[in-house]
Amino acid sequence: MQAATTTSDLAIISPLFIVCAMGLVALLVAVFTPKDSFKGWLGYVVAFGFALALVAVVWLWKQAPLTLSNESLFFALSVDHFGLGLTAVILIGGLLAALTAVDYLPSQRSDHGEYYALVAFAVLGMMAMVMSADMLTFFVALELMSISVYVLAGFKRQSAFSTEAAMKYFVTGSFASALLLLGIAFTYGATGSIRFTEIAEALASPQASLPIAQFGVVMLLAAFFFKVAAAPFHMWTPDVYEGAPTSVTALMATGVKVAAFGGFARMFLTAFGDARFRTGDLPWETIIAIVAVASMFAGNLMALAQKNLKRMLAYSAIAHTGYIMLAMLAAPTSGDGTVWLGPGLIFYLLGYTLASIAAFGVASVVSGNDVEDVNEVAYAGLAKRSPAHALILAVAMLSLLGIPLTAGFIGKLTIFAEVLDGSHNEYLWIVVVAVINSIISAFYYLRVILVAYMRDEAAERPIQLVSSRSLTLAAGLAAFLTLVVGLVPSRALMASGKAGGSLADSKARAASTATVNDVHTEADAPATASAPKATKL
Amino acid sequence: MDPNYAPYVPVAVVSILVVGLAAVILLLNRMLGPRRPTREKGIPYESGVDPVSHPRRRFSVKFYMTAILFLVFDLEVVFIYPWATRFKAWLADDAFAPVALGSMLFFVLVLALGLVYEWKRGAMNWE
Repeated sequence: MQAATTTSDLAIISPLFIVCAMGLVALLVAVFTPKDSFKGWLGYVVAFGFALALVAVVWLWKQAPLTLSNESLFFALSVDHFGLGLTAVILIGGLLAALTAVDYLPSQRSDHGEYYALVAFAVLGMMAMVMSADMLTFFVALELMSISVYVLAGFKRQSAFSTEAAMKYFVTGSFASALLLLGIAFTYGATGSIRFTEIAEALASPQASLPIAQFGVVMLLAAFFFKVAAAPFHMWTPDVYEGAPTSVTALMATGVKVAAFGGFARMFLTAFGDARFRTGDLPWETIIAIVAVASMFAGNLMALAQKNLKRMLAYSAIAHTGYIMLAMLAAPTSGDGTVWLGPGLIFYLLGYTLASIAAFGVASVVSGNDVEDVNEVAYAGLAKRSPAHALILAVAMLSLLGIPLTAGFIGKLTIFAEVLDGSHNEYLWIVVVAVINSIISAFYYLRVILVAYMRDEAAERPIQLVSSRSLTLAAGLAAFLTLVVGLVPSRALMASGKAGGSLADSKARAASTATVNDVHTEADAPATASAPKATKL
Repeated sequence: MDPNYAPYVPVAVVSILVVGLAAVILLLNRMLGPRRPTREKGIPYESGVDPVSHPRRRFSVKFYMTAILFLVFDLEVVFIYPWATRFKAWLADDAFAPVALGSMLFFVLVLALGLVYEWKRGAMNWE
């Protein structure tokens, strides 16, 4: 064993440790400082922690795929490009979301230090979720994320609205967790394993009891649809997005969605990537296609009727879930059943994260003076009052709509191209549906810009802005990055392609586990060489 | 029948037996037992407190805090106990011993910080 070429386990999981430490620090600071003192500086501390973890992730990315030498960790976490890439997206989202809260929370009379601890723990759960390589790690990570976000949704304790949001999220979320556990139990019953790669192996053998596994897959799919807010399971989304404090909604729309998509995409493609599951008796591809179409229509049509910006963004999030799901249909398979992802899913999640943070950032800015209903009155004439914020809002809306020169456009283009290439035009109809939906969405996205630029401020209720440098910085940075990624997408696309392609390594990784102690020497060379080049455009 | 379901046959048999036995006992009790109901006999605890009250009756959140504290430390023991029984065997393995000790210390540290938080927030003050 050559110790020089391997990175120690502690270094490999250092991003998780850094974020966990930040959460604990924030928790202790919250309780040891006077109750009514300004707690916003903790936001900077936690954001610094996320930045530090991001640096660690970039450092690890250069050496990935990494293998952990400790056996229990080795089977629990897979620190490959896929996990690291999505972790980076989550950390960017978490960093910007933490900055939006610094001055927003005091304006809502909810400035408690625990907020930042909970944000750090939620982000920790998300990071572990996209890296998890077995069902139990996955479940624990998902619960850590979910429980932290349930509390955050009800963080504005004096508001019945916020409490109701937390209650609804908790009840539906717990139901989804129960379905997930049931799914895990059934797949374990059918395969005798909780590790993704071993489940795939067991299912490939002829003695596998497919009906039981398929029942489990249906349960897992339902939990997945709940967590990403896909159409028949989306009812909680508008109420929760609207009721939760806006900085929490920003985290929910970005981090939770990225983690759920990343974690479940890895689970389905690694454990159930078998052709019999994707297109056979009970094809999850078809289920996902139907749900994607339903999500696009439900989200876009309902968004047309919304007056409240937060509620409209919630329905738009449902529609975007539909677009992102298309990327899972396009997963290419090689002859030996190895499945990987193109750059579309991860790139789209990055673009969506940036645009959402910018949009919710502006939604927090205009909800000064404890405004809960961010309706048109709240931002009409914003361009005259505060041109910078209006510009950020406009960029966010254009990117969500998918206008060229923004990240949203490249994301949609990549996913649509992938679906057409990957399915040999079999899914042409679904791309047509998605394009029609993009056109529908133009109406409500452009209306926001119209109201912000063309309409005058209501005289009886002037706009109350939260004056905050950190909030403007976070939203502005997000909008700026949206444009940068849209104008020069090549690096982000290449990284996303590398991340998606690294899913194909899971088989090589499983094969190299015969004796865990030999993993070090094996993993460095052949695993990277076999990664397919999935970049396009 | 699909041979995959063979291991579940005993489960099905037991389920049917349990439900059937319960039904038979209840039915026999109903048919054979003499019944002279009074109001006192009708309540769930014949000589206890009346358990029925308004569902929205308020009770102190302190009970809840105590229950949470108990659960946390109860579960801590559940984790530590099996760890402790295996620890001696792990000590022999030079590579794994520090990992075994370190991960448990980290777990206890996180819980201890949680305890500090609770204590300082006043969850343990009854008054």
